[in-house]
Amino acid sequence: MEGLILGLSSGASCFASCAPFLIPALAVEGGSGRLRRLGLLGLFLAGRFLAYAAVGLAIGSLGAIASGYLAPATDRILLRSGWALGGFALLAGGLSGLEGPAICSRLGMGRGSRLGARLGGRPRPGLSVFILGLAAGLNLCPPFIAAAGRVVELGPLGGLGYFVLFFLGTSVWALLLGALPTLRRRAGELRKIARITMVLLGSYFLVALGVLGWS
Amino acid sequence: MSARLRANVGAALGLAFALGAVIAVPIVFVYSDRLASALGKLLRLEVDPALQGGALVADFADPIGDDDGPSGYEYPLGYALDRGELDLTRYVARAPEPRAVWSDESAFWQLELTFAKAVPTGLGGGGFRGPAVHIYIGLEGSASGSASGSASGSTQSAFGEGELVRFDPAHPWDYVVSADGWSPAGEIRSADGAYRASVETSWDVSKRSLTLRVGLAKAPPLLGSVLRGRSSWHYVLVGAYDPGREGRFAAVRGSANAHDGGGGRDELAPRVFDLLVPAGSSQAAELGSENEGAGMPALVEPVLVGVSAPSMVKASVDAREGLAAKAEREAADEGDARSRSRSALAGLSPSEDRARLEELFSLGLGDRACAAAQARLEADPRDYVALAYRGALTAQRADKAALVTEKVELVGQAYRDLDAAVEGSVSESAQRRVSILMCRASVSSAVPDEVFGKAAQGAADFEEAASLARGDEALELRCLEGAALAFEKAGLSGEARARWAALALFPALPAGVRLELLDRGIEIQK
Amino acid sequence: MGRTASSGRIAARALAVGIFAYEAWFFCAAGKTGDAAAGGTIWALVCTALFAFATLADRLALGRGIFFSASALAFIPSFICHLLEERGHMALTGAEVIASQVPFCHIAIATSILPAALFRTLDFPARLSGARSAFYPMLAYWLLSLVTVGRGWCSWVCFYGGIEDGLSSLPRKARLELGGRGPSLRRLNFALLAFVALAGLATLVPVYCDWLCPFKAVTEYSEPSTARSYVALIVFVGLFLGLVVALPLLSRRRTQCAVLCPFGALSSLLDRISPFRVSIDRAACVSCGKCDRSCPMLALDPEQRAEGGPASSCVKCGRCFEACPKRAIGYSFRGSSFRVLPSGGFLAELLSPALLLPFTAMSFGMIISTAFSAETMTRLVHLAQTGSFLLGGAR
Repeated sequence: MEGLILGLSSGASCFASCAPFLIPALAVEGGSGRLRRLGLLGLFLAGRFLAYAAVGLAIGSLGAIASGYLAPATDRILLRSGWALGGFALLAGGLSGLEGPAICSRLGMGRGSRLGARLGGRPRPGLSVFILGLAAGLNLCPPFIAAAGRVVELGPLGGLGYFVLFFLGTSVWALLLGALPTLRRRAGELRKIARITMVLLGSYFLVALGVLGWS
Repeated sequence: MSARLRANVGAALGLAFALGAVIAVPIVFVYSDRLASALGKLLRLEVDPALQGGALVADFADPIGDDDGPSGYEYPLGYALDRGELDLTRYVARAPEPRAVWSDESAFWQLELTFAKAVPTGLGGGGFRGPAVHIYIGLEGSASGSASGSASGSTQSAFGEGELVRFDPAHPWDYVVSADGWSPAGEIRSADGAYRASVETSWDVSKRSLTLRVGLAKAPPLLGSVLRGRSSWHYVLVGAYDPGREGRFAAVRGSANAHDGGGGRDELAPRVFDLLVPAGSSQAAELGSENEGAGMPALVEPVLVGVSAPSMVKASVDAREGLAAKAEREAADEGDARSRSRSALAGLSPSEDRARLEELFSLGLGDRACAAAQARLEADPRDYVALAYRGALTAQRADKAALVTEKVELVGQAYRDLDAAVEGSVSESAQRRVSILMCRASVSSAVPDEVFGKAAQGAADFEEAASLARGDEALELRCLEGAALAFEKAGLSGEARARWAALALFPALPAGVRLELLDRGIEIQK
Repeated sequence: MGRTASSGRIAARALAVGIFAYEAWFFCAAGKTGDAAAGGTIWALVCTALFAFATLADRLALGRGIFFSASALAFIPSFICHLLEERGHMALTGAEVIASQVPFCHIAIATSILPAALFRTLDFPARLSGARSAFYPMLAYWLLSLVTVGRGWCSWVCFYGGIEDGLSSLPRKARLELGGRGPSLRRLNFALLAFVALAGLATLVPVYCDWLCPFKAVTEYSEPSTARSYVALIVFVGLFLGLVVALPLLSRRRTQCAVLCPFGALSSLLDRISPFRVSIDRAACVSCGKCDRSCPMLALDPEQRAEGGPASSCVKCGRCFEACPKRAIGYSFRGSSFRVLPSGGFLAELLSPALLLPFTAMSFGMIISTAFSAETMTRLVHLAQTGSFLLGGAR
């Protein structure tokens, strides 16, 4: 129960951490129909759910040992991995859809290439959104850390349950985003802008925050 | 609507809007400070704590002027220290910050101390020459999950003889942070001696503060556990710097010499000049508790820094309403007294007016006060009190002026008088100087800060007046309150907070001041 | 330039100049004494003269351009001297950050707006109130500019833009042709805004200020000590030399403002709120394309001309007015279009957007500049008298 309340109350903070992943992703596929967008949103949330469930299970199982590992140093490593993974997902998603620059095809991430398709190019946007959801879920925001702290004593099932409820609580705001109307008129422009934004965000997250650890 | 009509209406609206814009520009700039404060009240933003060193969790005020140990201590003579250099006035503990910004890449814990007076050593690093500081930190509960496994800390000093105090056995310490103005960095060490690291120090002369940053990234899990919301017990001790002693705290003998302080009662006189004590205790009692016969040094108690529970007092709505009602009654009583005094002064002649200039001014009888000030100045052009009052009265006229240009001119004129009065009265008696300073300070606090930028100067004037008014408690109170409000107006909320905290230590506070303190979450000392 | 001005027009503009002169005196010099009064008066005279040049002599783009560039040039010494007087050094150290004493720059509004809205937290170590460079006053000025000049801020008020505005108008011919890239550069600009806003939201750090601000090269900077700060320094200096100096000189366009500035992008989005815009008289336009080549923001191209006005990135600088041989482009009120009209009577000219916008915008710019440009004049006076550029003590 506490997990649910914590999730509901930390809406703004969760939105802040997940927004860089979700908003460009939604805008990229925007204009393609309400149902399709809800489906993509669902995939995003599924990715997040998987991440939260895994973390809840892991911490619950490790129990007291985990609290020793939740020192600032490991916090930092987890944080950086989260950024790196998320950055990579954003970068792949953005590059695989950009028209124009020859870089895409040079990297083998052009529209028709198999690598691009694997990583979530236009043929498979669902996968890239799923990975984005996973990355967003692993992103350590303060409520997440607080939840992790509480879960230490709960054991594997308790930890899982806590994080599931936490996830439900935080997902409420995400549903609000899904209800936003698309800007039909500028859909094409928005899509292009969103792709560039994803590349910028992805590079920053992956290189500056993830690999190099410069906050 | 035909297209032409629509076009005309559109153009007319556009024109109206544009004219509005033309007028709005200069008006907004003239009233920009009011607009800014309205925005402030609407938005109520705070600067991200990570950029300030972490969220504030504990803010302790230490009485000003208690830098004499148990009582009667004298400073060592070697550095010719000024009284107040060893006087701790404020101790702030912040929540540990996991994201370091504009600093090295690690989580840190920031602690801040403020002194009554700060004189730098003149070396690089800007440390203060007088104090040496030891902060003993005991962590709450047993060290569950820590690598070392051992449970408690120590009740002895970390530095051999050190400060000649004992620590409360109910709260043994686990870590000690030490710093002084002559060393480039501070140090932290653990009770068992296993952990030692340096602590970043930052000295600010204008704020008279020392900021300590304890890095937590490579610290043992126990210290890192403060990130998980563990409360801690802090002993904050200030001594006189002596490089020759372990721990750098100078000894205290019967009489002071170049290295040692004076006024020590016996061989076990604690080497602590100022101590932060918890509510309900007193520095004199704690530092005077040594028992020479039994060889037991003085026992000191820590203050609680609760990370999970905020230290701000949240009074109930009823209590606040009660205070507000009381403040209103007090104000009404004051108003009655003033109107009575006014009618008593009705029948005075101009020459009698001259003698009662201050009274006329405080009762709001502006015209007569103006005439009285003029008369005084004619008789003696160096009557700085009269000059100051004339300046203040001019500023009052500015407030009533209709045109903005007139206002600006009158304020400029007022300051010419006020500045001249303040500059010329440096050698006057304390009483006269206080009146002059308060005149200028009141005007500075009243004029828009965005336009004139005088709030900080006003605060300084109030402060000087407060120090001069030391004997008169009511006056000192008014000056401190004025200083606090002026600092807030100037946007220096940290300074303002320190003054509010100092006000909280006064024994008899009027309801209005208590209300202000309550609204700012400052606990009033009983 | 080529059009006979009616007496009504001259009278209306003369009146405007008179009002402007009074305004300039009031904000720059009134209530000041000594050096400050002298410096303020000099600046007031400069502004009034340039306003008169822009309106009475009908050289809008040039008058505005000189004012804008002079204002920006005067900003730098004032800012640096302030830092030296208040802190004793130019570099930003941890002490100032912790004390929240960093001056708040308007560009940071783009990174701060989302965290401020969601968390009530300002992710910039600035004072909230108490000085012109504090957050709330800056926010107030930005809101004011939105409802008055819109993105005109970028060509009349912004003390950073003046540098490249001046540089981009220096060369006679463009060596590097960027025409036609308007739409993609605009997209990049908006993407950068989204990046800065979202990254700032996720990390609660002013990402633009940390990594991308070219003006750090000439104002305030963090003392480089780690690898990261050296990389950042290289980026700042590189962006400054590239986007603010070199590219404007080569291409005659304002590349930093058009591409990199997130604040500009934000103002573009909200430009619809302002009462003024630039529009084209389609009846008079002959599609010669000269305005496209003259626009420093790449806001004009054949599609935009067909739509009747420049894109949202238009900064209302007026360069296209003089470039157009038919004078078919000019200021208009929001909701109506520009029409090439014969010179009208006194009232029509007084209330025309061609006079009201320059008056509003230049007043705005002049008042903002009193905090620094007028002060630089004061410093020059002080220098002439005492040999020192620094004024003793804080102002």
